[in-house]
Amino acid sequence: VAAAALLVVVGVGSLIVGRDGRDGRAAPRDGRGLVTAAARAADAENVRALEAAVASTAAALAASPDNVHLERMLERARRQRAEYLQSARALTTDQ
Amino acid sequence: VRRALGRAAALVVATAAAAGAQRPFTRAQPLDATAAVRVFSMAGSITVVGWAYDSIHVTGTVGAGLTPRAGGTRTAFKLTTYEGEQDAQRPSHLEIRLPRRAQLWIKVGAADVAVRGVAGSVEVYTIDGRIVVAGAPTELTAETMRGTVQVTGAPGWVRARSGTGAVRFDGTAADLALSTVSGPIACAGDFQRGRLESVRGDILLTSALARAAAVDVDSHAGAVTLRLRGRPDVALTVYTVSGPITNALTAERARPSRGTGRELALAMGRASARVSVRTFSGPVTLQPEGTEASASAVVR
Repeated sequence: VAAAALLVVVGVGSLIVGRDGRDGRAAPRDGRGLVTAAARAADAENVRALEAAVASTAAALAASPDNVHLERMLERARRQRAEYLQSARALTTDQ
Repeated sequence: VRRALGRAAALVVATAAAAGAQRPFTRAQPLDATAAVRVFSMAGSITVVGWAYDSIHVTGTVGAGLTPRAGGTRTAFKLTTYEGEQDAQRPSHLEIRLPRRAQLWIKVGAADVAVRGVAGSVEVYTIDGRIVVAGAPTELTAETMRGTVQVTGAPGWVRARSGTGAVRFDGTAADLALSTVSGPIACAGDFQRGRLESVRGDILLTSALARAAAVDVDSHAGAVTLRLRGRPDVALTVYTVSGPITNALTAERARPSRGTGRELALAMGRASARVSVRTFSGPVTLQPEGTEASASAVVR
């Protein structure tokens, strides 16, 4: 009986406060409500990878300034970084 | 007896919680053939099917405590189950049937999105959710931060992007751009203009290369594999700073490039299509189709 009573208390309690212990109040609308902590970490890692690609390509171009392939690769790396940042901003806002 | 009572109580609680977790939702109204439809949700799944009727019909379940809002005019319809709160514990699962030529826009957090049979424009944005689109929308934009994107069919214009997830395309398109940061890209089909690019993800392109097609493939550190079908007419250039180049298409071999890196240029047939491949450190492999494993082995 004690076990059954405990289960009822836990079950009803979880419905009231939520499984993660929050008190049920709505989170503030800070424009990042859609983003999970894991997604934030992935976003940070993506940005680091994009920055590293730009930096290494720029360094290679500095060593070989006449290389048209590297010029285009740097252009592409910068564009991809800009597009990703713009996309991530749009994805993580509420609207 | 006590143990039996305990089990019974646990069953009652579990059943009550499950019943309260979701509740049914239905909404229907007339809608013009090219109406704009906007969907906003947090978690669960959204399935959209284009049909031949001038109406929209939404069925499914919404998470307990959520207040779905749906409605609009004949030219614009909005549906939302999201209330500004990050709560993946209360998923909503919805199936939407709408006019085939509707203009569809979906934005979700962790929900999976599937769209099929929609011939208007389609835009899908997710954080974690998987995006699957089948059919021939005039324009398709699919963006996700961590989810995967899978597109099959004959969309006219495609922009598919993921951060860490895989992007896969099977079909034909006039204009195609696939992009990832670290997720792999697998593209099988034909298109007039294509751009495949990644920072660290592997890229596999399998194509016969349409006449006069123009394709650019770039990966900073990922491997690039170009697998050609049939006897393509293509002028192909490869450049890499430090990655190896393997050519199984012709007898040409890579040679040092001016300044730094290595490059390979070759022409096949009448060279009407143009393909450019560039990597910084990723290996490049050129081969005829049928010599390696299928695309599914690269994009799991």
